[in-house]
This record gives sequence, structure tokens and C-alpha cells, in this order.
Amino acid sequence: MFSFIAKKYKLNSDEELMLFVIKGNERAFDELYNRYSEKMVRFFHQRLYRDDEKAQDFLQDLFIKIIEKADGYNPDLKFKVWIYSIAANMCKNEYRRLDVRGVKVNDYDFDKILEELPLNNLTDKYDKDLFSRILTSELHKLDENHSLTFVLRYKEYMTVKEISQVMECCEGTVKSRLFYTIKKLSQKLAMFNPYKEIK
Amino acid sequence: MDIFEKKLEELLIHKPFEKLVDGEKKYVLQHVTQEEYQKYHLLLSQAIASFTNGPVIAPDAIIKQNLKNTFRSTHNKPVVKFQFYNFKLPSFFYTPVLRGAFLLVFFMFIIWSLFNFSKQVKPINIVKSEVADKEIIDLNKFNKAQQATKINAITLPLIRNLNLRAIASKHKRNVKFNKALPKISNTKNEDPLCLKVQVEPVGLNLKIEEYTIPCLSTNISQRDSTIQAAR
Repeated sequence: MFSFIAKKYKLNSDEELMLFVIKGNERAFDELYNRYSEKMVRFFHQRLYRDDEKAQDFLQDLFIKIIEKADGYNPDLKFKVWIYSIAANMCKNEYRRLDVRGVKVNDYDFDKILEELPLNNLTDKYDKDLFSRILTSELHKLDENHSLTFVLRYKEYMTVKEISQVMECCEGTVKSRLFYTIKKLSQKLAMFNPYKEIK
Repeated sequence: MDIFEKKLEELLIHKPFEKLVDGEKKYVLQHVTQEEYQKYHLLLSQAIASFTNGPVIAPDAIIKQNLKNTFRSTHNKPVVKFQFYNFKLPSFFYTPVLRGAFLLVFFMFIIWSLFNFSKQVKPINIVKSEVADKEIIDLNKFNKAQQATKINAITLPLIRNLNLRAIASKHKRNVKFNKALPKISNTKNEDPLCLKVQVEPVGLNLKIEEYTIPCLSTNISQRDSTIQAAR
């Protein structure tokens, strides 16, 4: 009978929904979750070394933070920027935690794969999955700020301005980081470049 | 080149070097070499494709339920929530007669509301327009009988539940009430409620306030003429 109420929130912007959430509106929270849960779990999956379980845990923690810190949301800021800022900080903390514990994650496997593969063949046959894995590995080898900038731009399709807000730096820095990362990655992933012969 | 130009980025994402038109090639070559362009274009197109077609990972269903529980406990809501939009009216309501009667009452209420809308009392908003000149009162010239001075009555249309006392307290900061009330009484002549307040001056400086009460579109100005007279 009143199904239009349920549909109503689909028309609201993220920022409007967040204002409803602050007032304790559960349906608005549902809608926000539906919009962002998939994106964010993939973001965490990519940022946290493709660890499925950790990605799910982080997703839950992220939305708990949103519930608990809802009052701290600044309506002038895009919700997208706010949620990615929280997510990026969570990843940063996780890297620090792993660093303190001296845990080295996953990149050993990729190096091993690279050693064993007949790389010359890859110039003819583009292996998407392998490229994806090596790209993830190489991104993690880069400085955290550079790799995050690259991911936010080309995976999450955020604008330079939004990235600068997430990372709390100026737009020039974002552009510079993007260019640096592209340059570095194109060198590291040269084996996938058909224009260049692998020696 | 240290900074990524937006136009260059767009070209790198969408066009291989061979497909660039002359103008674009010229622009691109101002920033990077042909070899660099090819490398960067390939990397970007592969990376974006890789991100797009990356591993499909969906959020666990249990997370949503956990979050709902957290949300409810944070906002102190009971777990079983009344869902208005799922509410079904009792079956007898679907009897056409009852339904018609309900609709009739509903529409009558709407019409009644519309007709009475203009009569409704709007919230009283007292706006102090300005403070008149400071006037110095010589207390010696007051005799004690006169110090208990009656403020002129403020004549207002009859309004139920109007808190005149709050109004008087708010707008007579510079006078002290002798008694714990401005007494509200209905004079019954004309149509008024009258506000009678007994005041005495505080110190030598007594501000005489002039204020306007916009009330049901009637602006009523009042000045404490009794105190002026005493002076």
C-alpha cells in the first residue's frame, strides 16, 4: 500500500540520505549501504592484498563507523569523499599494524609467479588475471599515497578534486602522484606491453 | 612533465597513438614522447579493464543484519519495528460502506481544516522594535505610593493559552516586578485580555521600552506612559 515510501529513498542523494541517517532513519541507512557496500568491499579487497575475509570485516567496521560517527559528518562534504576517507584511513592503520608486526603480505607469491612464467609469451597473450594480480602487487610495492591515488582515480573513478579531499592534499599533488605512478607502473609492467620487446 | 594534464589523461585512456588526429598528436608530443604515450596508454587501458573486470566479491548478507542491529541499538530502537508501509488495515475496513464513511469523514476534516486555517492562531512572535531614549528618573521625585506603578494595559484580542506573563518578563528586563506576577485579567470591555504589571524602577536609569506585538496581523504599540507621568 505504501511501497512508495520504500522507493522514496532511491531518489535522494547520498548527502540527503546521510542527513536522514543522522536522525536515525534506518531505511536511509539501508539505501546507503546498498549503494556503497559492493564498491567498498571491492575497494578493501584490492587495498588489503585480495584478502576476502578481511575485506568483509573491514566493510562491516566501515559502516559501523558511519553509524557511530554519523554526527561528525559534514554535509558540505560529499558523502563519497567522506566514506572513502574513512576507508583509506582504515587501510592505512592496517598497513601500520602489519608493518609493526613485521608481516609481509602476498607479494612473495607474485614474484614467484613472475620468475616461473615464460614472460616472452605474455606479449602475445594478454593474461588478464595475471595482469590484475601483478598490478595489485606492484601497487602495493609503491608508496601508499601513490597507489591509493591511482586506485581512487582509475578504479573508483573519483575526480582529482575528490581525491585531493580524501587524501587531504592539493590537486597538483594528486596529478603529480598520478603521473609518477603511471610512469612507474608502465616500467614495472612492461612485459605486458606489445610495443616493447622483452629482453 | 611532472603533472598530469586532464586532456592528456583523457587521450591516454581512450585513444592509442595511431588513432590520434594531427592536432592531438601535436598536443601529446608536447608532453610525452610517442613511446611513452604508447606505454602509458596501454597501462591505463589494461589497468582500467582489470579493475572493471576484477574479482567479483559481494558483501556477506550477515553484515547487513549485523549493521541493522548496530543501527537500532545506537538509535535505541526496538528490534521489532512497526513498519507502517506494511501495515494492513483490518478486513472489515474493506467493506464499501465503511470505506466510504471513512473517506467522507476524512474529506470533511480536510475541508474543515481549510476553512479554519485562516482563523488559526499563529505563533506569537514578540519583536522588540527599538528602545526609546534613556530617561533618568529621580527617585526622590517618586513618592512611595507612586513607585508601585501600573503599566498601561496591553490590549490584545482574546487568545487562548497566551502566556502574557512570559511576554511581560521577556520585555521588561529593566523593571522589577513587585509581585511574583504580572496578573492577567480580562477586562471584558471590548474584546481584550489585559496585562497589568506592577513595576518599580531599578536604579536611577530606567529605560522605557517601546515594542510592537504583531499578533493576528494587529500591530499594537505600547509605551509606559504611567512612568512618564510619574516623572
